Amino acid sequence: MADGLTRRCSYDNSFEYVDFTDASGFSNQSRIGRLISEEISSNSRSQPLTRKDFNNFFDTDGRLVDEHLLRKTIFKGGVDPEVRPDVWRFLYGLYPLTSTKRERQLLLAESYLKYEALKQRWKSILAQSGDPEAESLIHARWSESEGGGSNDVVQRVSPVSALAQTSEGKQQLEFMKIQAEVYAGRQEYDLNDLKGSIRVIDKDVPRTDKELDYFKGENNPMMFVLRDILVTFAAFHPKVGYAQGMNDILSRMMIVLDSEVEAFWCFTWYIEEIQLDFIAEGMVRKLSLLRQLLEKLDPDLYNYLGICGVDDLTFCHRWLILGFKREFGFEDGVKLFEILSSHYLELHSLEAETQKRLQRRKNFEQEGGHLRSVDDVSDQEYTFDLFVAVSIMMDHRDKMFRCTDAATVFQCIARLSMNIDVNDILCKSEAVFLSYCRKSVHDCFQVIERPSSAKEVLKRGMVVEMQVMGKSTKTS
Amino acid sequence: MSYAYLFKYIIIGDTGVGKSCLLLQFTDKRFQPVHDLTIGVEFGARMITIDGKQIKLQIWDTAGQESFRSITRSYYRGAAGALLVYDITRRDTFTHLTTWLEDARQHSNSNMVIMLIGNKTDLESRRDVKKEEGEAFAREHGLIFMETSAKTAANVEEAFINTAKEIYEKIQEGVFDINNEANGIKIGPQHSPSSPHAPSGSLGQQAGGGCC
Repeated sequence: MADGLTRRCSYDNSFEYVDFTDASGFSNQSRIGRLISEEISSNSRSQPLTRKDFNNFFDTDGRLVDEHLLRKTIFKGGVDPEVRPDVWRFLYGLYPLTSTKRERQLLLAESYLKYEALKQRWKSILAQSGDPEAESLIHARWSESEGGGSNDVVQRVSPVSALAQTSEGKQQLEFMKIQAEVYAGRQEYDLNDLKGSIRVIDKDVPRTDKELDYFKGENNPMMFVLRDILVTFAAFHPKVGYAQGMNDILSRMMIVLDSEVEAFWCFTWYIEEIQLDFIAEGMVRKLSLLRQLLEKLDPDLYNYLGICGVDDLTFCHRWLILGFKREFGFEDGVKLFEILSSHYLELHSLEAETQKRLQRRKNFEQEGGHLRSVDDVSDQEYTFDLFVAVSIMMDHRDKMFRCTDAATVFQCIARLSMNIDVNDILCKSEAVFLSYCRKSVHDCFQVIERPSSAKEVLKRGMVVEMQVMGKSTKTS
Repeated sequence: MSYAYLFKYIIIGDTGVGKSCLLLQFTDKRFQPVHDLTIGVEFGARMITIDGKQIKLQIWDTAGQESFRSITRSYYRGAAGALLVYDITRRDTFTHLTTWLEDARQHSNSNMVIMLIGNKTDLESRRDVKKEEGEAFAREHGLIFMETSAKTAANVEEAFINTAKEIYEKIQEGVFDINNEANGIKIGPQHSPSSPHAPSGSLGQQAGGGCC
């Protein structure tokens, strides 16, 4: 099962079995298969980003100077656990990438005050709601003792008290406190949804990562922190509220950052970025993107899964919504999570893609062509996690072809959990991603290279582009 | 391992009522007090014997939260049996039964056998829903009813097996069209000469032992 585990990526030619489909006449498949093999032999993983590397990213004001390189370094090797919390504060939006050291100090103090104000607000909303159960909603139902207050549980030396050292700082602090109150007071909420969310959160917190030391044991103070963050988020994001799986995302952030306030803001930033994935339409949409991608990259496997009755790919849903958390041990899972969050490949290729399109548009306009907008699934929606999912399936396609129905496919996928080598699959996923980009570019160039009059070329170029788009918008 | 019939089940109900624990108790005969919450759909299987015949139960365990329903709903379709679970210590899980039932009836085939389960009888002191209420609800909606404890295993076997018996009886009565897999019933490999998808001779082993 895990025959790829110890092999180094550069020697691994297992993706060549993609060519298996040649025999069935999938010529398109063989081209992408060849491209993938070529990419695998040329790409490699790097060492994790160290503190020394990270410090070199800042100028004298403490401003991060090369975002692109930072993303690339994270993507290529992940982050050394020792410097991980510092990197994550940037990666998950607690600090803007352009901020100076001085700005970050104030920002952090502000984050503490705002979070505290938000937390107090939902508690007082519930207290004033007149609900007989208000008390059990404010404090966790499973808290037997009253020792469950989570205030300042995991806050190191507070940036607020650091600021209060000088009289100028104190004044600033007073002003920030008022601002935080106003900010919290402005947030929209829905009392009934909030109560509903709390009930589910109280069910989920006691079963979140209980096997990890950080959350082990009954009445572990971290459970209360987990709960307060989830409720504070859900209270003021009424559109998304709380969705199961968020607890898994947050627990990981809590362990890495080890600060209630920082975990809250990083979690909020992350969920706001992908919040659609946590509501029903978003889930359906994500799986439909995955289907489209698999269909393009390995149509034979896609069709076979259809025969097994699982071409909806629901068996991949957990992978995507939890960033593959349950498929790997803690350290590998965290590493994969930050690599996915670096969005290096997508941003990089998106830039190239945008340039390419702009140029083509310009040429077309110069020729007097008439532009019209097309509702397409642009390649930017194919985020890297989708490529990882496709790569895992392609990597185990021989096993999947031996499945006979939905049940055996689910069993097959369940057995992959904890049996995937993270570096190996990252290598392959990157190769699949790059091959996919090369193939798309190739498709366009093929047409442009045709000897014909300039207008004719452009016309055909657009037709092909439309076809590619049409293919991507097709839903099954 | 070969079987005479394969029945597909689905387990539904609010989050935290013990769906995954019931499944684990039935398939592995163990109780896991802290069970990872189910994201989307998970799967379990076990062989039982009814009327001297080997019957394979293929059980789809679903996430309870509303937002996952768009994903889990498609599993209603091909199910012959459903376990609709509530928690006897939480009334809200009982009051939500109507919605679950409507959802199940709307998305499944009309002959699907539904077993209503009041779980967590080990927590008698915290009981919030009387057994009679469960019985009344089941009677009113034409469901079979049992109270179980996934923790002590009380009635767990019976819940899964009685549902299978009911399906089996319906087959005997000719209510189910067993040649239509969309009904959640499949005839075992020794009863059907060939299978369209599997290499010949390997299906029995595949279905029993998985694919990899």
